[in-house]
Amino acid sequence: MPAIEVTNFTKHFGKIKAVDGITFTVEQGEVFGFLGPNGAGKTTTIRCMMDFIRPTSGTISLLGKNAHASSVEIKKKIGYLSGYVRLYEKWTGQEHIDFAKKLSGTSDGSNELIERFGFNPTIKTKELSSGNRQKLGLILALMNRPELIIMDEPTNALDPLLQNTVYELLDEAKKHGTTIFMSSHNLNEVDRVCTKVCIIKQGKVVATESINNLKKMRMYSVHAHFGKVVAPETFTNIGAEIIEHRNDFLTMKVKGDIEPIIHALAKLPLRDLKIEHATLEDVFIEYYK
Amino acid sequence: MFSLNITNNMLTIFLRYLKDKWLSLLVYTVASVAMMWMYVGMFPSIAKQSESYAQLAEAFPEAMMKAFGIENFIMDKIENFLAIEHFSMIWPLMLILLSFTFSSNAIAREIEKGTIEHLLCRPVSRLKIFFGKYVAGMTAMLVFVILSIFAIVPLGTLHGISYQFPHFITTAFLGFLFGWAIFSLAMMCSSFFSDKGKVAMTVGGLLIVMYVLNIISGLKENLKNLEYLSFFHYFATADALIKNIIDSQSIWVFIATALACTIIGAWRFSKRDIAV
Repeated sequence: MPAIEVTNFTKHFGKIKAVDGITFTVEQGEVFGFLGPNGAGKTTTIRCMMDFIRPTSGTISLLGKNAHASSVEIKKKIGYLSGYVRLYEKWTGQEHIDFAKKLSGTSDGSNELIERFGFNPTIKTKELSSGNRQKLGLILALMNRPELIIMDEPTNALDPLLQNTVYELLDEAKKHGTTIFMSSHNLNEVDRVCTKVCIIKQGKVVATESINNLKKMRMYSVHAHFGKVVAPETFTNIGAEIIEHRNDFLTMKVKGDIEPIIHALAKLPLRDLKIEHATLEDVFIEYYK
Repeated sequence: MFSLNITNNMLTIFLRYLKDKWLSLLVYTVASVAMMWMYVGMFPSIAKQSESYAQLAEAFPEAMMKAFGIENFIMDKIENFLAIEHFSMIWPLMLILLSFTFSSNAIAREIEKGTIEHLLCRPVSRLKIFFGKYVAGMTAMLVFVILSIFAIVPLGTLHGISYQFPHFITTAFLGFLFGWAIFSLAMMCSSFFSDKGKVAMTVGGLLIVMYVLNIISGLKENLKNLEYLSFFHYFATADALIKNIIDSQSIWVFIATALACTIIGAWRFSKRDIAV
Protein backbone atom coordinates (compact mmCIF):
# COMPACT_ATOMS: atom_id res chain seq x y z
CA MET A 1 0.00 0.00 0.00
CA PRO A 2 1.54 3.35 -1.02
CA ALA A 3 1.69 6.07 1.64
CA ILE A 4 0.43 8.66 -0.83
CA GLU A 5 -1.43 8.01 -4.04
CA VAL A 6 -2.45 10.99 -6.15
CA THR A 7 -4.49 10.04 -9.21
CA ASN A 8 -5.52 12.48 -11.96
CA PHE A 9 -5.79 15.22 -9.36
CA THR A 10 -7.12 18.49 -10.71
CA LYS A 11 -7.91 21.69 -8.88
CA HIS A 12 -9.43 24.71 -10.55
CA PHE A 13 -10.09 28.07 -8.95
CA GLY A 14 -12.69 29.49 -11.29
CA LYS A 15 -11.01 29.57 -14.69
CA ILE A 16 -7.53 29.14 -13.25
CA LYS A 17 -6.18 25.61 -13.43
CA ALA A 18 -3.93 25.49 -10.35
CA VAL A 19 -3.29 21.76 -10.73
CA ASP A 20 -4.09 19.96 -13.93
CA GLY A 21 -4.42 16.19 -13.69
CA ILE A 22 -1.31 15.14 -11.81
CA THR A 23 -0.57 11.55 -10.82
CA PHE A 24 2.20 10.26 -8.59
CA THR A 25 2.77 7.72 -5.85
CA VAL A 26 4.89 7.85 -2.71
CA GLU A 27 5.84 4.51 -1.21
CA GLN A 28 5.98 3.94 2.53
CA GLY A 29 9.26 4.97 4.10
CA GLU A 30 10.18 7.15 1.14
CA VAL A 31 11.41 10.73 1.50
CA PHE A 32 9.70 12.45 -1.38
CA GLY A 33 10.54 15.93 -2.59
CA PHE A 34 7.83 17.91 -4.30
CA LEU A 35 9.43 20.62 -6.37
CA GLY A 36 8.53 23.31 -8.79
CA PRO A 37 8.68 27.04 -9.37
CA ASN A 38 6.37 29.42 -7.51
CA GLY A 39 2.76 29.04 -8.62
CA ALA A 40 3.34 25.53 -9.97
CA GLY A 41 0.62 24.03 -7.75
CA LYS A 42 2.70 22.53 -4.91
CA THR A 43 0.88 24.22 -2.03
CA THR A 44 -2.51 23.57 -3.65
CA THR A 45 -1.68 19.86 -3.80
CA ILE A 46 -0.54 19.85 -0.17
CA ARG A 47 -3.72 21.67 0.92
CA CYS A 48 -5.81 19.06 -0.86
CA MET A 49 -3.86 16.27 0.81
CA MET A 50 -4.69 17.89 4.14
CA ASP A 51 -8.35 18.31 3.08
CA PHE A 52 -8.18 22.10 3.54
CA ILE A 53 -9.44 22.36 -0.03
CA ARG A 54 -11.14 19.72 -2.16
CA PRO A 55 -10.14 18.40 -5.60
CA THR A 56 -12.11 19.49 -8.65
CA SER A 57 -11.56 15.95 -9.91
CA GLY A 58 -9.31 13.00 -9.20
CA THR A 59 -8.46 11.36 -5.92
CA ILE A 60 -5.86 11.61 -3.19
CA SER A 61 -5.26 8.68 -0.86
CA LEU A 62 -3.10 8.87 2.22
CA LEU A 63 -2.07 5.71 4.07
CA GLY A 64 -4.59 3.77 1.99
CA LYS A 65 -7.57 5.99 2.74
CA ASN A 66 -9.30 8.76 0.86
CA ALA A 67 -7.87 12.10 2.01
CA HIS A 68 -11.30 13.73 2.11
CA ALA A 69 -13.67 10.96 3.21
CA SER A 70 -11.33 9.65 5.94
CA SER A 71 -9.73 12.97 6.76
CA VAL A 72 -10.28 12.81 10.53
CA GLU A 73 -8.96 9.26 10.85
CA ILE A 74 -5.92 9.93 8.66
CA LYS A 75 -4.92 13.07 10.52
CA LYS A 76 -4.27 11.03 13.65
CA LYS A 77 -1.26 9.66 11.77
CA ILE A 78 -0.07 12.79 9.99
CA GLY A 79 2.30 15.54 11.00
CA TYR A 80 1.83 18.74 9.03
CA LEU A 81 3.96 21.84 8.63
CA SER A 82 2.68 24.67 6.45
CA GLY A 83 4.83 26.91 4.30
CA TYR A 84 4.28 29.85 6.59
CA VAL A 85 3.66 28.99 10.23
CA ARG A 86 0.66 30.94 11.51
CA LEU A 87 0.31 31.10 15.29
CA TYR A 88 -2.15 32.47 17.84
CA GLU A 89 -0.35 35.65 18.82
CA LYS A 90 -1.62 35.69 22.41
CA TRP A 91 -0.71 32.09 23.16
CA THR A 92 2.65 30.82 24.30
CA GLY A 93 4.43 28.01 22.49
CA GLN A 94 3.45 25.65 25.30
CA GLU A 95 -0.22 26.57 24.87
CA HIS A 96 0.03 25.65 21.19
CA ILE A 97 1.66 22.36 22.10
CA ASP A 98 -0.91 21.53 24.78
CA PHE A 99 -3.79 22.40 22.45
CA ALA A 100 -2.37 20.19 19.69
CA LYS A 101 -1.74 17.40 22.22
CA LYS A 102 -5.35 17.49 23.40
CA LEU A 103 -6.73 17.51 19.87
CA SER A 104 -4.51 14.72 18.62
CA GLY A 105 -4.78 12.58 21.72
CA THR A 106 -1.67 10.58 20.87
CA SER A 107 1.77 10.11 22.38
CA ASP A 108 3.80 13.24 22.78
CA GLY A 109 7.46 13.82 22.07
CA SER A 110 7.32 17.58 22.41
CA ASN A 111 9.72 17.84 25.35
CA GLU A 112 12.47 16.08 23.45
CA LEU A 113 11.91 18.30 20.42
CA ILE A 114 11.87 21.46 22.55
CA GLU A 115 15.25 20.44 23.93
CA ARG A 116 16.75 19.57 20.55
CA PHE A 117 15.64 22.84 18.98
CA GLY A 118 16.56 24.88 22.04
CA PHE A 119 13.09 26.38 21.96
CA ASN A 120 11.65 28.41 24.84
CA PRO A 121 7.92 27.49 25.00
CA THR A 122 7.01 30.02 27.69
CA ILE A 123 7.23 33.09 25.44
CA LYS A 124 4.11 34.46 23.74
CA THR A 125 4.34 33.72 20.05
CA LYS A 126 3.93 37.35 19.00
CA GLU A 127 7.40 37.88 20.44
CA LEU A 128 9.01 35.01 18.52
CA SER A 129 11.41 35.50 15.62
CA SER A 130 10.59 33.85 12.29
CA GLY A 131 13.13 31.11 13.04
CA ASN A 132 11.56 30.37 16.41
CA ARG A 133 8.10 30.33 14.86
CA GLN A 134 9.38 27.76 12.39
CA LYS A 135 10.83 25.72 15.29
CA LEU A 136 7.43 25.69 16.97
CA GLY A 137 5.81 24.67 13.69
CA LEU A 138 8.24 21.77 13.42
CA ILE A 139 7.62 20.71 17.02
CA LEU A 140 3.86 20.73 16.38
CA ALA A 141 4.32 18.70 13.20
CA LEU A 142 6.64 16.09 14.68
CA MET A 143 5.52 15.82 18.31
CA ASN A 144 2.99 13.03 17.73
CA ARG A 145 5.50 10.75 16.01
CA PRO A 146 3.44 10.60 12.81
CA GLU A 147 3.49 7.82 10.22
CA LEU A 148 3.39 10.39 7.44
CA ILE A 149 4.97 13.84 7.58
CA ILE A 150 3.79 16.48 5.10
CA MET A 151 5.91 19.61 5.05
CA ASP A 152 5.86 22.73 2.95
CA GLU A 153 9.41 24.12 3.02
CA PRO A 154 10.48 22.72 6.41
CA THR A 155 13.71 24.65 6.89
CA ASN A 156 12.35 28.01 5.80
CA ALA A 157 13.86 30.75 8.04
CA LEU A 158 16.13 28.35 9.95
CA ASP A 159 19.86 28.92 10.29
CA PRO A 160 22.25 26.24 8.93
CA LEU A 161 22.75 24.63 12.36
CA LEU A 162 19.02 24.21 12.88
CA GLN A 163 18.61 23.02 9.33
CA ASN A 164 20.98 20.21 10.21
CA THR A 165 18.91 19.43 13.31
CA VAL A 166 15.85 19.13 11.05
CA TYR A 167 17.73 16.86 8.65
CA GLU A 168 18.81 14.67 11.57
CA LEU A 169 15.22 14.45 12.80
CA LEU A 170 14.02 13.53 9.33
CA ASP A 171 16.78 10.92 9.04
CA GLU A 172 15.65 9.42 12.35
CA ALA A 173 12.03 9.44 11.22
CA LYS A 174 13.09 7.75 7.99
CA LYS A 175 14.86 5.02 9.98
CA HIS A 176 11.60 4.36 11.84
CA GLY A 177 9.80 3.90 8.51
CA THR A 178 8.07 7.27 8.48
CA THR A 179 7.11 8.55 5.05
CA ILE A 180 8.12 12.15 4.41
CA PHE A 181 6.59 14.34 1.76
CA MET A 182 8.12 17.78 1.48
CA SER A 183 8.17 20.70 -0.86
CA SER A 184 11.30 22.77 -0.97
CA HIS A 185 13.15 25.40 -2.95
CA ASN A 186 16.38 24.49 -1.24
CA LEU A 187 18.01 22.07 -3.69
CA ASN A 188 20.88 21.19 -1.38
CA GLU A 189 18.25 20.16 1.13
CA VAL A 190 16.47 18.05 -1.46
CA ASP A 191 19.75 16.42 -2.40
CA ARG A 192 20.57 15.83 1.27
CA VAL A 193 17.20 14.49 2.41
CA CYS A 194 15.07 13.15 -0.45
CA THR A 195 15.25 9.80 -2.18
CA LYS A 196 12.79 10.68 -4.92
CA VAL A 197 11.36 13.86 -6.37
CA CYS A 198 8.36 14.95 -8.35
CA ILE A 199 8.78 18.13 -10.35
CA ILE A 200 5.62 20.05 -11.10
CA LYS A 201 5.29 22.99 -13.46
CA GLN A 202 2.18 24.97 -14.35
CA GLY A 203 0.02 22.39 -12.62
CA LYS A 204 1.44 19.38 -14.46
CA VAL A 205 4.02 16.80 -13.46
CA VAL A 206 7.10 17.15 -15.64
CA ALA A 207 9.20 14.47 -13.98
CA THR A 208 9.09 11.91 -11.20
CA GLU A 209 12.55 10.50 -10.66
CA SER A 210 14.87 9.23 -7.99
CA ILE A 211 17.56 11.71 -7.00
CA ASN A 212 20.22 9.32 -8.29
CA ASN A 213 18.60 9.13 -11.71
CA LEU A 214 18.35 12.90 -11.89
CA LYS A 215 22.03 13.20 -11.08
CA LYS A 216 22.82 10.75 -13.84
CA MET A 217 21.05 12.86 -16.43
CA ARG A 218 23.40 13.70 -19.23
CA MET A 219 23.82 17.41 -18.78
CA TYR A 220 27.14 19.17 -18.87
CA SER A 221 28.56 22.59 -18.26
CA VAL A 222 31.42 23.45 -20.61
CA HIS A 223 33.79 26.34 -19.85
CA ALA A 224 36.22 27.01 -22.71
CA HIS A 225 38.98 29.63 -23.05
CA PHE A 226 40.12 29.93 -26.67
CA GLY A 227 43.20 31.37 -28.28
CA LYS A 228 41.03 33.56 -30.48
CA VAL A 229 37.51 35.00 -30.64
CA VAL A 230 35.03 32.25 -31.44
CA ALA A 231 31.55 32.68 -32.88
CA PRO A 232 28.97 31.14 -30.52
CA GLU A 233 27.06 29.76 -33.53
CA THR A 234 29.81 27.16 -33.85
CA PHE A 235 28.26 25.49 -30.80
CA THR A 236 24.63 26.59 -30.87
CA ASN A 237 24.29 24.97 -34.29
CA ILE A 238 25.13 21.61 -32.74
CA GLY A 239 22.76 21.88 -29.78
CA ALA A 240 24.65 23.77 -27.07
CA GLU A 241 23.08 26.57 -25.11
CA ILE A 242 25.36 29.54 -24.55
CA ILE A 243 25.35 30.75 -20.96
CA GLU A 244 28.13 33.31 -21.19
CA HIS A 245 30.17 34.63 -24.12
CA ARG A 246 33.01 37.10 -23.63
CA ASN A 247 35.48 37.48 -26.55
CA ASP A 248 37.60 34.36 -26.30
CA PHE A 249 35.72 32.87 -23.35
CA LEU A 250 32.60 30.73 -23.61
CA THR A 251 30.39 28.93 -21.09
CA MET A 252 27.73 26.64 -22.46
CA LYS A 253 25.29 24.01 -21.35
CA VAL A 254 25.04 20.74 -23.24
CA LYS A 255 22.17 18.30 -22.96
CA GLY A 256 22.48 14.72 -24.21
CA ASP A 257 25.42 13.59 -26.35
CA ILE A 258 28.53 15.72 -25.76
CA GLU A 259 30.62 14.12 -28.52
CA PRO A 260 29.80 16.69 -31.29
CA ILE A 261 30.81 19.48 -28.91
CA ILE A 262 34.12 17.81 -28.10
CA HIS A 263 34.81 17.40 -31.81
CA ALA A 264 34.05 21.08 -32.42
CA LEU A 265 36.26 22.09 -29.49
CA ALA A 266 39.15 19.96 -30.79
CA LYS A 267 39.22 21.97 -34.02
CA LEU A 268 39.73 25.25 -32.15
CA PRO A 269 42.83 26.64 -30.39
CA LEU A 270 42.08 25.99 -26.72
CA ARG A 271 43.91 27.64 -23.84
CA ASP A 272 41.84 26.05 -21.12
CA LEU A 273 38.87 23.71 -20.92
CA LYS A 274 36.63 22.49 -18.12
CA ILE A 275 33.77 20.05 -18.67
CA GLU A 276 31.67 19.07 -15.68
CA HIS A 277 28.43 17.23 -15.03
CA ALA A 278 25.60 19.63 -14.39
CA THR A 279 24.64 20.08 -10.75
CA LEU A 280 21.25 19.00 -9.41
CA GLU A 281 20.35 22.68 -9.43
CA ASP A 282 21.07 22.89 -13.16
CA VAL A 283 18.86 19.84 -13.73
CA PHE A 284 15.97 21.36 -11.76
CA ILE A 285 16.31 24.71 -13.47
CA GLU A 286 16.11 22.88 -16.76
CA TYR A 287 12.78 21.37 -15.69
CA TYR A 288 11.55 24.63 -14.22
CA LYS A 289 12.12 26.56 -17.45
CA MET B 1 -12.86 5.28 22.25
CA PHE B 2 -12.58 7.22 19.01
CA SER B 3 -15.95 8.96 19.41
CA LEU B 4 -15.03 9.81 23.01
CA ASN B 5 -11.85 11.40 21.74
CA ILE B 6 -13.79 13.43 19.17
CA THR B 7 -16.23 14.61 21.86
CA ASN B 8 -13.21 15.59 23.93
CA ASN B 9 -11.88 17.47 20.91
CA MET B 10 -15.06 19.53 20.72
CA LEU B 11 -14.80 20.25 24.44
CA THR B 12 -11.16 21.29 23.96
CA ILE B 13 -12.16 23.73 21.21
CA PHE B 14 -15.10 24.99 23.28
CA LEU B 15 -12.99 25.63 26.39
CA ARG B 16 -10.10 27.13 24.47
CA TYR B 17 -12.39 29.54 22.63
CA LEU B 18 -14.05 30.67 25.84
CA LYS B 19 -10.62 31.11 27.42
CA ASP B 20 -9.48 33.26 24.48
CA LYS B 21 -12.55 35.44 24.56
CA TRP B 22 -13.35 35.67 28.27
CA LEU B 23 -12.12 39.24 28.46
CA SER B 24 -14.61 40.39 25.79
CA LEU B 25 -17.40 38.67 27.68
CA LEU B 26 -16.29 40.25 30.94
CA VAL B 27 -16.06 43.75 29.45
CA TYR B 28 -19.50 43.60 27.82
CA THR B 29 -21.11 42.09 30.91
CA VAL B 30 -19.52 44.53 33.35
CA ALA B 31 -20.41 47.46 31.08
CA SER B 32 -24.02 46.30 30.84
CA VAL B 33 -24.32 45.72 34.58
CA ALA B 34 -22.71 49.10 35.25
CA MET B 35 -25.22 50.81 32.98
CA MET B 36 -28.11 49.05 34.67
CA TRP B 37 -26.68 50.10 38.02
CA MET B 38 -26.59 53.68 36.80
CA TYR B 39 -30.25 53.53 35.68
CA VAL B 40 -31.36 51.81 38.87
CA GLY B 41 -29.54 54.48 40.87
CA MET B 42 -31.21 57.22 38.82
CA PHE B 43 -34.66 55.66 38.95
CA PRO B 44 -36.03 57.13 42.23
CA SER B 45 -35.52 60.71 41.03
CA ILE B 46 -36.83 59.90 37.53
CA ALA B 47 -39.97 58.25 38.95
CA LYS B 48 -40.83 61.46 40.79
CA GLN B 49 -40.94 63.35 37.49
CA SER B 50 -42.56 60.58 35.48
CA GLU B 51 -45.57 62.65 34.39
CA SER B 52 -43.41 65.52 33.10
CA TYR B 53 -41.42 63.07 30.94
CA ALA B 54 -44.64 61.55 29.62
CA GLN B 55 -45.88 64.99 28.54
CA LEU B 56 -42.55 65.74 26.92
CA ALA B 57 -42.63 62.44 25.04
CA GLU B 58 -45.98 63.27 23.48
CA ALA B 59 -44.14 65.75 21.28
CA PHE B 60 -41.95 62.97 19.78
CA PRO B 61 -42.91 61.44 16.40
CA GLU B 62 -44.61 58.05 16.55
CA ALA B 63 -41.94 56.47 14.33
CA MET B 64 -39.23 57.50 16.77
CA MET B 65 -41.10 55.92 19.65
CA LYS B 66 -41.55 52.79 17.59
CA ALA B 67 -37.87 52.71 16.78
CA PHE B 68 -37.19 52.46 20.50
CA GLY B 69 -40.04 49.97 21.00
CA ILE B 70 -41.85 52.29 23.35
CA GLU B 71 -45.59 52.84 23.46
CA ASN B 72 -45.71 55.19 26.41
CA PHE B 73 -43.24 57.22 28.34
CA ILE B 74 -44.60 56.67 31.83
CA MET B 75 -41.59 55.82 33.95
CA ASP B 76 -43.20 55.14 37.28
CA LYS B 77 -41.88 51.58 37.44
CA ILE B 78 -38.31 50.32 37.06
CA GLU B 79 -39.45 48.00 34.25
CA ASN B 80 -40.79 50.95 32.23
CA PHE B 81 -37.68 53.00 32.85
CA LEU B 82 -35.28 50.20 31.89
CA ALA B 83 -37.38 49.29 28.84
CA ILE B 84 -37.02 52.87 27.59
CA GLU B 85 -33.47 53.69 28.63
CA HIS B 86 -31.58 50.43 28.67
CA PHE B 87 -33.32 47.70 26.69
CA SER B 88 -34.48 49.81 23.76
CA MET B 89 -30.99 50.56 22.40
CA ILE B 90 -27.91 50.08 24.58
CA TRP B 91 -28.48 46.52 25.77
CA PRO B 92 -29.41 45.08 22.34
CA LEU B 93 -26.44 46.91 20.85
CA MET B 94 -24.12 45.27 23.39
CA LEU B 95 -25.69 41.89 22.68
CA ILE B 96 -25.21 42.40 18.94
CA LEU B 97 -21.58 43.41 19.40
CA LEU B 98 -20.91 40.46 21.68
CA SER B 99 -22.54 38.08 19.20
CA PHE B 100 -20.46 39.58 16.43
CA THR B 101 -17.22 39.31 18.44
CA PHE B 102 -17.76 35.61 19.11
CA SER B 103 -19.05 34.69 15.65
CA SER B 104 -16.63 36.59 13.43
CA ASN B 105 -13.59 35.47 15.43
CA ALA B 106 -14.80 31.86 15.43
CA ILE B 107 -14.17 31.16 11.76
CA ALA B 108 -13.60 34.15 9.44
CA ARG B 109 -10.90 35.67 11.64
CA GLU B 110 -9.14 32.30 12.01
CA ILE B 111 -9.12 31.89 8.23
CA GLU B 112 -7.93 35.48 7.75
CA LYS B 113 -5.07 34.94 10.20
CA GLY B 114 -4.37 31.41 8.97
CA THR B 115 -4.57 30.01 12.50
CA ILE B 116 -7.43 27.71 11.52
CA GLU B 117 -4.82 25.33 10.13
CA HIS B 118 -4.03 24.34 13.74
CA LEU B 119 -7.55 22.92 13.90
CA LEU B 120 -7.79 21.62 10.35
CA CYS B 121 -4.57 19.62 10.52
CA ARG B 122 -5.71 17.73 13.64
CA PRO B 123 -8.10 14.78 13.77
CA VAL B 124 -11.21 16.86 14.28
CA SER B 125 -14.12 17.08 11.85
CA ARG B 126 -15.14 20.47 10.57
CA LEU B 127 -18.57 20.07 12.14
CA LYS B 128 -16.96 19.55 15.54
CA ILE B 129 -14.86 22.68 14.99
CA PHE B 130 -17.94 24.66 13.99
CA PHE B 131 -20.09 23.47 16.87
CA GLY B 132 -17.28 23.67 19.42
CA LYS B 133 -17.04 27.38 18.67
CA TYR B 134 -20.78 27.75 18.21
CA VAL B 135 -21.58 26.35 21.64
CA ALA B 136 -18.86 28.54 23.18
CA GLY B 137 -20.45 31.63 21.61
CA MET B 138 -23.91 30.60 22.77
CA THR B 139 -22.57 30.00 26.27
CA ALA B 140 -21.04 33.47 26.29
CA MET B 141 -24.33 34.99 25.20
CA LEU B 142 -26.26 33.08 27.83
CA VAL B 143 -23.84 34.26 30.50
CA PHE B 144 -24.16 37.85 29.26
CA VAL B 145 -27.97 37.71 29.15
CA ILE B 146 -28.30 36.14 32.60
CA LEU B 147 -25.76 38.36 34.36
CA SER B 148 -26.76 41.60 32.66
CA ILE B 149 -30.53 41.14 33.13
CA PHE B 150 -30.67 39.45 36.51
CA ALA B 151 -28.30 42.06 37.90
CA ILE B 152 -31.61 43.73 38.75
CA VAL B 153 -31.89 41.38 41.75
CA PRO B 154 -28.86 42.65 43.71
CA LEU B 155 -29.15 46.19 42.30
CA GLY B 156 -32.87 46.48 43.09
CA THR B 157 -32.25 45.17 46.59
CA LEU B 158 -29.29 47.50 47.06
CA HIS B 159 -31.33 50.59 46.11
CA GLY B 160 -34.58 49.42 47.68
CA ILE B 161 -36.47 49.35 44.38
CA SER B 162 -39.24 46.84 43.82
CA TYR B 163 -39.26 44.90 40.56
CA GLN B 164 -41.30 42.21 38.84
CA PHE B 165 -38.91 39.26 38.65
CA PRO B 166 -41.03 37.23 36.15
CA HIS B 167 -40.89 40.19 33.75
CA PHE B 168 -37.12 40.01 33.78
CA ILE B 169 -37.22 36.26 33.12
CA THR B 170 -39.41 36.92 30.07
CA THR B 171 -37.05 39.65 28.90
CA ALA B 172 -34.04 37.39 29.36
CA PHE B 173 -35.75 34.67 27.32
CA LEU B 174 -36.60 37.11 24.50
CA GLY B 175 -33.11 38.63 24.65
CA PHE B 176 -31.51 35.21 24.42
CA LEU B 177 -33.63 34.30 21.38
CA PHE B 178 -32.74 37.61 19.71
CA GLY B 179 -29.05 37.08 20.46
CA TRP B 180 -29.21 33.48 19.26
CA ALA B 181 -30.71 34.55 15.92
CA ILE B 182 -28.09 37.25 15.39
CA PHE B 183 -25.24 35.03 16.53
CA SER B 184 -26.38 32.27 14.16
CA LEU B 185 -26.71 34.74 11.29
CA ALA B 186 -23.20 36.04 11.98
CA MET B 187 -21.80 32.49 12.34
CA MET B 188 -23.30 31.68 8.96
CA CYS B 189 -21.60 34.74 7.44
CA SER B 190 -18.38 33.79 9.23
CA SER B 191 -18.57 30.36 7.53
CA PHE B 192 -18.99 31.93 4.11
CA PHE B 193 -16.29 34.58 4.28
CA SER B 194 -12.55 34.50 4.85
CA ASP B 195 -12.14 37.82 6.58
CA LYS B 196 -13.73 39.46 9.55
CA GLY B 197 -14.39 42.73 7.73
CA LYS B 198 -16.78 41.10 5.28
CA VAL B 199 -18.69 39.48 8.13
CA ALA B 200 -18.98 42.88 9.86
CA MET B 201 -20.10 44.54 6.65
CA THR B 202 -22.72 41.90 5.88
CA VAL B 203 -24.17 41.46 9.36
CA GLY B 204 -23.96 45.17 10.17
CA GLY B 205 -25.55 46.05 6.84
CA LEU B 206 -28.39 43.57 7.34
CA LEU B 207 -29.10 44.83 10.85
CA ILE B 208 -29.06 48.46 9.74
CA VAL B 209 -31.51 47.63 6.94
CA MET B 210 -33.73 45.81 9.44
CA TYR B 211 -33.58 48.75 11.82
CA VAL B 212 -34.51 51.22 9.09
CA LEU B 213 -37.35 48.95 7.89
CA ASN B 214 -38.72 48.86 11.42
CA ILE B 215 -38.70 52.66 11.57
CA ILE B 216 -40.20 53.36 8.15
CA SER B 217 -42.90 50.74 8.71
CA GLY B 218 -44.29 53.13 11.33
CA LEU B 219 -44.29 56.15 9.05
CA LYS B 220 -47.07 55.09 6.67
CA GLU B 221 -49.82 52.55 6.92
CA ASN B 222 -49.02 51.04 3.52
CA LEU B 223 -45.43 50.35 4.67
CA LYS B 224 -46.52 48.64 7.86
CA ASN B 225 -45.85 45.11 6.60
CA LEU B 226 -42.15 45.92 6.25
CA GLU B 227 -41.85 45.53 10.02
CA TYR B 228 -42.12 41.76 9.58
CA LEU B 229 -38.74 41.80 7.81
CA SER B 230 -37.03 43.28 10.85
CA PHE B 231 -35.63 41.47 13.89
CA PHE B 232 -36.28 44.67 15.82
CA HIS B 233 -40.02 44.32 15.34
CA TYR B 234 -39.94 40.88 16.98
CA PHE B 235 -37.54 42.03 19.68
CA ALA B 236 -40.25 43.80 21.69
CA THR B 237 -38.47 44.24 25.02
CA ALA B 238 -41.00 46.82 26.19
CA ASP B 239 -43.80 44.23 25.97
CA ALA B 240 -41.63 41.63 27.68
CA LEU B 241 -40.43 43.88 30.47
CA ILE B 242 -43.51 46.00 31.08
CA LYS B 243 -46.33 43.58 30.23
CA ASN B 244 -44.49 40.27 30.70
CA ILE B 245 -45.56 39.02 27.27
CA ILE B 246 -43.78 37.69 24.20
CA ASP B 247 -45.58 37.32 20.92
CA SER B 248 -45.32 33.65 19.87
CA GLN B 249 -44.47 34.89 16.37
CA SER B 250 -41.28 36.44 17.78
CA ILE B 251 -40.27 33.14 19.36
CA TRP B 252 -40.78 31.19 16.13
CA VAL B 253 -39.11 33.78 13.91
CA PHE B 254 -35.99 33.84 16.11
CA ILE B 255 -35.86 30.05 16.49
CA ALA B 256 -36.43 29.44 12.78
CA THR B 257 -33.79 32.03 11.80
CA ALA B 258 -31.28 30.64 14.27
CA LEU B 259 -31.80 27.03 13.16
CA ALA B 260 -31.74 27.83 9.45
CA CYS B 261 -28.58 29.97 9.75
CA THR B 262 -26.87 27.36 11.94
CA ILE B 263 -27.59 24.54 9.51
CA ILE B 264 -26.50 26.59 6.48
CA GLY B 265 -23.39 27.84 8.31
CA ALA B 266 -22.35 24.34 9.44
CA TRP B 267 -22.98 22.90 5.98
CA ARG B 268 -21.01 25.68 4.29
CA PHE B 269 -18.07 25.39 6.68
CA SER B 270 -17.84 21.64 6.23
CA LYS B 271 -17.98 21.90 2.42
CA ARG B 272 -15.91 24.97 1.62
CA ASP B 273 -12.30 25.29 0.54
CA ILE B 274 -10.12 26.87 3.17
CA ALA B 275 -6.92 28.13 1.63
CA VAL B 276 -4.69 29.11 4.54
